[in-house]
Amino acid sequence: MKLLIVDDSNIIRRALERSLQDFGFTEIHTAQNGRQAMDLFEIHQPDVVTMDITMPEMDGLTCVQLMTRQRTGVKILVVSALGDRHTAVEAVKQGADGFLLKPITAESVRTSLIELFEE
Amino acid sequence: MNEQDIQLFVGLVTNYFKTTTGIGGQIGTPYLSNARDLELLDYSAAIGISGNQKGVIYFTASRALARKLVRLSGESQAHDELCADMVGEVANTISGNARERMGAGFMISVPLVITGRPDNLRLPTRLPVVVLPVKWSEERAFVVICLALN
Repeated sequence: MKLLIVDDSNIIRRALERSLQDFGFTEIHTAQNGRQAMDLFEIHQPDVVTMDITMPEMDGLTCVQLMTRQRTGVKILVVSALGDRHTAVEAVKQGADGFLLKPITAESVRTSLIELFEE
Repeated sequence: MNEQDIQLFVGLVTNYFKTTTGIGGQIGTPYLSNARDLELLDYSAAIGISGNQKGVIYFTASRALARKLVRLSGESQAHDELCADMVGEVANTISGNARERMGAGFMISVPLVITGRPDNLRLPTRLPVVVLPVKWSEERAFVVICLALN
């Protein structure tokens, strides 16, 4: 299984990568904005994506919509600081499978990913 | 900005530190200030606010505080770039979390991060500026909130 981590914060990308290292992903790729995420999505065809929302170039909700249109079956966990209900609902409408509110911990990341697959 | 708004940010800042580090930050008495008198520390991050409100939210932190946060996030080295990034992420998280009460019309920008102590800070001159002093793990930071209804 391949993982794509998308976040404009380097420290969050690195924290997510550390948190998910033991999940058995054969490849982990990272992108710092939506446009780069779409490029890497097409090249590497990840099975799982963690997606920030507020990013330069292209926002995460647009990415979720484009990714789920391009390929069904990809699991997308939105990881965002946006704490309103509307954003979480919108993320699911666009095709996200889960929503994790920042601030994150290693435990909350791992739990959210497990829940993603349980569904 | 009213008292409820201030309490909202006090809660969000406390929650950030408690969740990510297990150590709750202590928030001192909030006070009114202006751009000229603001005390800026080694790293500062600004989030522009638009939509149903306008203004800016800053998080400014000492080098020691930023380094501790970076190390607690799991990094072995707390170099300058990671410290600046961490301060940007704190500002982003606090501002984004505020939408739980402010609603989806509370639009936040990506963080603008400043390393070093700038001589002056750009703040909208006609808006009230509220400062929340933060003490966490014996280190200092400030959350600067400059908001008004749009």
